[in-house]
Amino acid sequence: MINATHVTKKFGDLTALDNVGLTVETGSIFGLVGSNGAGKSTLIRAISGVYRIDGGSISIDGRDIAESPEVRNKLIYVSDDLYFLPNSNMDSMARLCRNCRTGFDEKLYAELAEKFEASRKKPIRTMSKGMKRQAALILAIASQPDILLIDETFDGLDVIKRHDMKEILCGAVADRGLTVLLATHSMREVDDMCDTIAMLHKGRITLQSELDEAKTALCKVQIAFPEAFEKDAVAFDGASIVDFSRDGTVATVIFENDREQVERELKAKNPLLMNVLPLSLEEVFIYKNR
Amino acid sequence: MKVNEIWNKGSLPKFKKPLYLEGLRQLRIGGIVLAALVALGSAREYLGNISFHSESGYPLRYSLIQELPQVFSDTAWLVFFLCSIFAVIAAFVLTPFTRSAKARDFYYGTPHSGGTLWLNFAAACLTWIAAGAGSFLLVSCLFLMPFDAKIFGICLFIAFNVLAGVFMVFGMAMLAVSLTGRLINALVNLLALSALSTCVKIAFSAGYNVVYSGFRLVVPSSELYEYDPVFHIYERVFFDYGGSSLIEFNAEFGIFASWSTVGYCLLWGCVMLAAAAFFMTIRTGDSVGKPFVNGAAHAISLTVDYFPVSVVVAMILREVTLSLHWNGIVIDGQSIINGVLYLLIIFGCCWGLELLLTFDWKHSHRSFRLLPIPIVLALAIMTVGFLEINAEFNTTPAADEVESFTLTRNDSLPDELVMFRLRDTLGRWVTDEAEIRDSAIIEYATAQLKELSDEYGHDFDKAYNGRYSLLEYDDAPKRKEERLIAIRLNLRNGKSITRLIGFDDEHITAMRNAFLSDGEFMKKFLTLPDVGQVNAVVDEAYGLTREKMTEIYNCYLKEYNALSDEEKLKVIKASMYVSFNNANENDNEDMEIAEHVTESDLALFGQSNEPSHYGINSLSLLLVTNKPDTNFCGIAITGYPEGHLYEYEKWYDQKLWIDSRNFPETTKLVVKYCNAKFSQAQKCFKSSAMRREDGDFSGGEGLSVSYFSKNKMLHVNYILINGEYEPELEWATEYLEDETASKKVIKVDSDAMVKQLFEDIQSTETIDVNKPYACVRWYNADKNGLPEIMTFFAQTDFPSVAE
Repeated sequence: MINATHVTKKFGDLTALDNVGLTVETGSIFGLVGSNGAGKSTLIRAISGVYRIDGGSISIDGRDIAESPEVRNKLIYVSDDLYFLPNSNMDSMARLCRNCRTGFDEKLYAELAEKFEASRKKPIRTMSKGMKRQAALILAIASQPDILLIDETFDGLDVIKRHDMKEILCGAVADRGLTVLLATHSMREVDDMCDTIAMLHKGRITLQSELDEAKTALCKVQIAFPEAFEKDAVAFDGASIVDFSRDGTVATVIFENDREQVERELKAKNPLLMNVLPLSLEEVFIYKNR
Repeated sequence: MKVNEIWNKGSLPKFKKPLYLEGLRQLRIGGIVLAALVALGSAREYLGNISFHSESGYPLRYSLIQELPQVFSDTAWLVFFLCSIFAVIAAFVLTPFTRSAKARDFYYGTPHSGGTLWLNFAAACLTWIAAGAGSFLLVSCLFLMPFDAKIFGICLFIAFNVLAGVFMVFGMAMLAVSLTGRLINALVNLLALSALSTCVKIAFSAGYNVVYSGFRLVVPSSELYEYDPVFHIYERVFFDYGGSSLIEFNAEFGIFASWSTVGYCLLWGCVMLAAAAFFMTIRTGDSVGKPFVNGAAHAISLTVDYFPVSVVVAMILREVTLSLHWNGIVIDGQSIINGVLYLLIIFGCCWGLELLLTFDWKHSHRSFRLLPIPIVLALAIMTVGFLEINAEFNTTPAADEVESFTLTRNDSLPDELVMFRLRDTLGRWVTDEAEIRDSAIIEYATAQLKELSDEYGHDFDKAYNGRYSLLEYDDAPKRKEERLIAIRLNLRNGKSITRLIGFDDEHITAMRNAFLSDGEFMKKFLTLPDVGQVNAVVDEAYGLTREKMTEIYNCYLKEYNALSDEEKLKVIKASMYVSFNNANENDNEDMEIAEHVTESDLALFGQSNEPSHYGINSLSLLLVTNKPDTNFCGIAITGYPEGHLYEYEKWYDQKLWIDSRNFPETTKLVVKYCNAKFSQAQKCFKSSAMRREDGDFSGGEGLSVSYFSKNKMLHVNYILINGEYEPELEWATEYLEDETASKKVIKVDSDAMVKQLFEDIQSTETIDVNKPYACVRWYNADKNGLPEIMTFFAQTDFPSVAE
């Protein structure tokens, strides 16, 4: 389990992470979403040990990440900007991975390379963006980590490769309890794969919950009254209106309240029409972070 | 973070073999190319040397060793240059995480700390640099070992310095790379750092005085050539210092140079690493730079902790070994006091620095837990210095401690190389001669040794007695009339010590007479080797065949063996059993030997400092023996102007002067052999003469005619072929110190006389030394395939000679 508490990271005057707390259960796929500059990459780098944090602590299974090479040995970080040795191919990178940490599975590496039809001898510099991403993921998975941190997971992969890669990751999670932390802009990826998500905005966690819970963290209601009305008309005691938009006598309201409470309170106002609509993860993200 | 915080935190970088191997792998092409280039570059020097000396006919082995310092020096710049360039590129290649965020994400996402990454990649980088530098030593060994050169100790010594230099080069490279994100800028930085390190070195030298070696690895410029470690060791220490403390000084200097070099290189390397850490942190932020800062802090911490300790240990060891006689007899209290002072001063500084940095007393104690490291290191250096550089110390035991003594010779190198003092260094002293056990002689010899040691100790033993800097000695006046003699004193306690002592002529005379009064010694002394022990002939000029050589030598032996012991001694006395190597500064380089011959009947064959001496006056026939414990034997047959045909035989550094009166048959054979080449030379001579008529004459050609009557030279006349005859009466008179010489002038001043001279030469196969004859030397300036100087003999009787 990854446990980050009160993590603070500053770059000069800029506070990239501000008292961030995060818990990632073992054997889960955790989605870290956030806007540009929200601090996703910084957080993931801090967890991977690339960055030293200025405050708080990050532990894995109770062990401080900075002081436990053994823990970090089972943790792999795949950056959004991939690094390969100059003029290297997959095999030479595999050798580098093997030399940098223990546990690299040659057989799995060969299988994955074959499955994805990746040319192991081809210079990586001649590969497309997607192929490079694929190569990096193959090398990371073949390293048999317990924890896989991926920044912009499937950036550049085509639909089929994306699907296959998801399958492999999900398989690893199911088979051997791999923990995956994805940092991404793509709500679809998170929606497809993640068990838990956290939303990061301006260096702070704005939401962390199970995926399904996240989607219900907000309540979207389409409501109409006989006369034109304002925001106050739908307000009730304890209401937290995140967004209000009206078109004539029909308004769409986003509440950050319990759905049942919203329904109960609004029905009591005798609307002409009231529909509780499902929210997409993207909408949740937008309304949570706006 | 303070140094001790890092220390106590326990987060020291760890050596990780896979990472190290990965670093090696990434640099393998560059490293191999570096090693290959260095090897080829250094091989080129040796091959050039071999080629040159093969053509000249000079013995290859000797020439190689003789040129060794030069080869080292010539190649050192290449090693430095290539290693520096490689180091920058390697540091650049291995530290992408200092420039690229994605590389940082990759490497720092591995389970290794930044310090560990730095350490292992730096180790890989250092390894390849060291391999490059080491290939030079390897090539040197490969070239020299087949020639039985004993260079292990020297190579080890130099390797030690080279490795220290490698560290410094690496430090420079890291700093160069840390200052920029572009390779080309890093290379430019390297140049700037080289210049900077020069300044630092000069400043450093002012305080340290003996820190030459590291400098060579920084700026191998010709104008600062004297700071070159190898050159300095051989040419300055071995050559200039000489004398009784020569051997001692080798070790002294070796130890000093090693430590000072290491000190300089380590300190300067650490300074540059620290600077690199500073700039790295500024440029990359603490995530990347901080581990490097920590690493540099560790390096500084280690340096602060252990280098002074190592110095202290080395100083103490040095003082102890100096203060104790090599055989444990004499204790020098002054050295012990000095050692204690060293200890107090440096240890105090060390501790004070520790306190200043850490305010932690425990830390100081912890530093000494690894004290065995510097001790072992210091001992290793001392051992190499003592055992491999023939180090022994200069003290003189009392006569009653000496059971016997033997004169020593060196079995490795010929006397010629004594001009480079290499013989004393590279060779091994061998003493297989009869021991002199006469107590009176022993007493005399030890007294002489002691007297001379005391007398000249002021000059020779500065490092030992005066603690003067090596530089100061450069200003000391050179002693005149200095000769060296190596004596092995076999002590009653079973040990033996070798002393190389300088003597002046007065002492030599007395010493020689003392030696020769020993019967056993004399008996062996008078024995000459059989010609069968000669296995090679090197004749640079006349094409002497083995058969002819054998004939001459056998003839000589026959005549020699026919002499009584007294007569043998008389002819041998012309030289000396021991080689007294002349260190004179002689203006008249051609006549140095002759001066000694004429000054006394000892005819001490001082070795000229001018190599050209051996190419003049003589027909040099170089013979190499197959006797196991010797490797050099020579015979030179010379028409010398003082009236004797003499030849000297070098055997165990023995030179025999063969007077034509004692060896008439040998003399005749030599004459016959020399004159057999005359017809060919005469053709060339005529050719020159014809050119003279055209007025197209290049200077330098001529004839020198020495005319002898009853084994006494009457006159030397020098004849130029340009039509002018220039009798050099004044020269001849001065040379012979014969006031009557000027009255006995032969004027070979006409073509007719020259013609007659040629005819006489042509008809002379043997000479009767009891009748007037001429020794003619032809100085051949033409490129006509003949030697530049040839000697002929003529049984002639010019009509104009006024006897």
